[in-house]
Amino acid sequence: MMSRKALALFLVVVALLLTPSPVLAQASPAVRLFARMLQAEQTLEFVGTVSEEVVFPDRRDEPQARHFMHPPGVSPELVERNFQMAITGRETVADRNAVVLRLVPKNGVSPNWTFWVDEETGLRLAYEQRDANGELLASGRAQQIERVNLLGKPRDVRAPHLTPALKERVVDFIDLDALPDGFVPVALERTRLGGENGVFALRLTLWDGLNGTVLLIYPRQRPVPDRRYLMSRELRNVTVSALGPLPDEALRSWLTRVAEGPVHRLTARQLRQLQRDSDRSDR
Amino acid sequence: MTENLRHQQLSAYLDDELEPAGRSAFETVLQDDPELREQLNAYKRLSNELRVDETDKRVADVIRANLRRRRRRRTWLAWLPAAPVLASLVLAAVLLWPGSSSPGVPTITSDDLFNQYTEAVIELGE
Repeated sequence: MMSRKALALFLVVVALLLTPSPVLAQASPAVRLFARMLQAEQTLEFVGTVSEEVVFPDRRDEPQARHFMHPPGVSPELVERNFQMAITGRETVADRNAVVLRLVPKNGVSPNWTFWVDEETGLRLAYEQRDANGELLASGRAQQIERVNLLGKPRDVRAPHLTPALKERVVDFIDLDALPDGFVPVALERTRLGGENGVFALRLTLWDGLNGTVLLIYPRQRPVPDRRYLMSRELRNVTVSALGPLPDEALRSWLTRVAEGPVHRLTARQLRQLQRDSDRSDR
Repeated sequence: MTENLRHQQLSAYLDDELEPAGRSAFETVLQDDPELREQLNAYKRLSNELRVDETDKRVADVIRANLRRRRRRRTWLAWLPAAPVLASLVLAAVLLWPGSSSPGVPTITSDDLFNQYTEAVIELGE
């Protein structure tokens, strides 16, 4: 038997859960729609057919997927901080009514996103990611939806975030102010370049809520030629490569700022130590 | 004939610069003057010796040039025994120089780097 006190407490908790968040209540319709979309992605899934094309990074098409591959995760706090959101119209996707939600980065260089959100369920029916020059990076669209399922266990769609421990390790070799506007480090790992017998490298992943960039630091060698979304710089003891769907000028500016920081003085021994410390990714 | 005039005529005679009449007159004087003949013979000998010296000079120049060439060749040959050591040093410098690729160490390609990007982004969703 539940006591009166416990019953009262239960009712208060239920009431709190059912009351809309004051922050969300004050938010714009676009922000509320974004929050609804995230909530739906955690609890619902559609069964049907999707077409998805991911140009960068290159990934296989999985037409029978129950949810889109891209983005791999979302960080709501970063999205709200780094993007302007706006509802730009209504369209029909897979015979369902969808609201078009557009997210434009405040830094002017990150890729922008458009989501087509199902009016009825809040599920994402389509998306597009384009770089600052308008080049398509990824797109997905539901072709046919047979039914919508309620997930037995909520799915975690959140991307990792910057922890104090990670920050402490990163500032040893990277000036955080040198990172592209809006991006924060979310993972630091040891990896290997050039196959099984390749060289060890330190891989720092940066995230702006929806988009990723990567910094690779490895023992000094002749850099591979620069090309779109990839730039490298040979420093005193290490070579640094910056990768990400940013315009050339933004990528170059970022790499220059990073190269002028503590990484410039990094010795081969210190790099090996950092790599050993990063054997387990600190997320 | 003064000594100076004799010397001038002798010199002109030797260089074949006298007119036929003058030449004939000078030869008549020569027949009667043994001292002048002796002087003429002395000039001829000197002239021949000078001509030989000129030849020697040309020969000397050729010999000197050959010697220079041989000396240059010998300079190169002198380094020959050290060639393996020098080659090893150059190779070691190339291999140890930061930024050079060495055998056994794979060259990093842009594909390797882009694969890292893909892997990093995929891992964010896992």
